[in-house]
Order: sequence, then structure tokens, then C-alpha cells
Amino acid sequence: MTLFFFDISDGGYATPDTTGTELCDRDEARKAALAVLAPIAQENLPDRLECPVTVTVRDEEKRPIFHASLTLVEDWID
Amino acid sequence: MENVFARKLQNAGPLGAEDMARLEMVISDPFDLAPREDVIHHGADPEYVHLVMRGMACRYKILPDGGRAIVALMLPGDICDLHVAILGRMDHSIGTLTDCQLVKIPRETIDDLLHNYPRIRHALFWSTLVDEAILREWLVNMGRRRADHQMAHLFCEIHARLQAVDELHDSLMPLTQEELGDILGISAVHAQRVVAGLRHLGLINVQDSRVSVRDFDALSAFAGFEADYLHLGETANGNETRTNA
Repeated sequence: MTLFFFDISDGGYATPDTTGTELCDRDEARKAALAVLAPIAQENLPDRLECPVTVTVRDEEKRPIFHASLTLVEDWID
Repeated sequence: MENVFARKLQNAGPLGAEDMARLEMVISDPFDLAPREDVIHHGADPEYVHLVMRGMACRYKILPDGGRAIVALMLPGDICDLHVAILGRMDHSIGTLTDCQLVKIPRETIDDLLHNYPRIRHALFWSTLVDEAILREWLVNMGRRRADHQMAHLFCEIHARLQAVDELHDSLMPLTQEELGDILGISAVHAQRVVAGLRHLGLINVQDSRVSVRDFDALSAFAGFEADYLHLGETANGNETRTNA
């Protein structure tokens, strides 16, 4: 198991991860990073979501190794 | 030894001297268990009912993909499974989360308490109903509250339950973000984010991955927490609320 850190921002509020989460490998870390984007976006909908929601994964040495973001695009069309 | 079991049951109403003496016998032979050990496993047909004297245990189920859902927390004074005396085979597992001190209560002792000690019987029935009420509240929590409100609600509940048995101490809640995630049905990474958010709002303190409530009133307001479902300090002849409950 390896410790990974997940810094998450919903645009308005960013949390640097100081605790870390133990996961098997980088691939698990990627999955965990992707899995957290949608719930955070959903919690902030409809009007508290300042896009994009982003997550940066850092490894045990705190080096950034992965980044993902989720953007919602909405427009009135009339 | 302080009888935390008696303290818990007294939330249902006063107990007599003979009740207290009987409850002293019930807790006379405790044993210790390390964190993350099973007390009873899914499918077992236990001969004993377990009582938590110290520490924190949980009721959980393992899913086919290996994930875990924690469906109840047992705190000091809580009986793990009164109904195994009636239902037989376990449909879920019970395990420790922290260092625990437990007591094994043989089925015959439960029968004796139920048949010969009416005030204890009433209190055990009360505790079973409160467990159901807590489960209802957890359903509401998981189904209808946002993750940050869910987490805040859980902390309020644990705080109130520990306070009701005088076990709040330094009020640190020894739960990891994995365990918090398994309770709330969110990922460990999400749980970490939510805990950081509550800390940022000044509602909780976090020290060495342990959480304490910083401002109970503000946290309650944030979570929409109302302690009525814990039925603390109600007596049989009226709903007289204890000032410290």
C-alpha cells in the first residue's frame, strides 16, 4: 500500500490533503481521484458550483502525479 | 469498575438497587480486543451477546466487490446484538474499530434479565428501539443529506451519545477517513475532503487524524441535528430532559 494525497478544489474552495489515503498503486489513485469529482460537483449544484472541480494527486513524496477536472457547461438557448 | 452499561440503561429511566447489583455481575468479566478485529462474523451462531465497555465497535457488511458498509456504531454501554438471543445466525458482522473492552453475556443471563428484572427489561427494550431510531436517522442521512451535512450529523450524534454515558473525555473521535466513508457511503478521499471542509468552517478540530467537536451548537445547526431520536433522559412518566443530555 502507498500513501497518496488528493488536493481537491471546487473552484470556490480548495483543500490541500494533509492526511493522505493508502491505496494499492497509481491506477487505484487515478480511480479514486476520478470517483470524487462527480459527488463534489453534485453537492454544489445547481448554484454553488464554480467550475471546474479539480483534483491533483500527489505521491508519498508529495510530488504531483495526476490531475483531473470536471467542468459543467450550461446555457439558456432561447 | 464504573458500570457504563448501567449508565446507558438509566437513560431509559431509574433503576433499583437490585437492578444495579445484577448489572454489576453482568460486567464482572471483561476482556480486551485490538482494533479491527471481528467480535462475531457473518453466519456465526453466537452463544453470547456482546457489550461494549470501552472503545468503539461497528456492525458491518462486506459487499461482493470487497467494499464495506458500516451500518451501526457501538459505543461504551451499547449492547452489540441483543437480538442474537432470539434470531440465531448472524446476518452481518460485528468488529472493533478501536481498542475495545467487551463483556460476553450468555443467553441465559439475557433471559434472566428479561424475565426477572422488569426495569432492566424495559431499558433493554428502550435501547433496541433507540438503535432502530438511530438506523432510521442514518437512512435519512445517507439518502437525503449532502455529504458535509451527513458528516456533521454523524459527529453530533457520536458526541451526544458519548456525553449521555459520561464517556466524552477529551471528545476525540477515533475514526479514520476510510471508516467515516464506510459509514456515510462515500469514498475515503471524499471523506477527507468533507472533514477538511468542516475544519475550515471552524466546526471541528482535527488532531492526528482524530476529530473533536469544536462548536457543538454551530455544528448541530449546520447539520440540522436534533437529538430527539436518541431519546436521552426520557423517563417512563414524562419526557423530562436531563440538562446534561
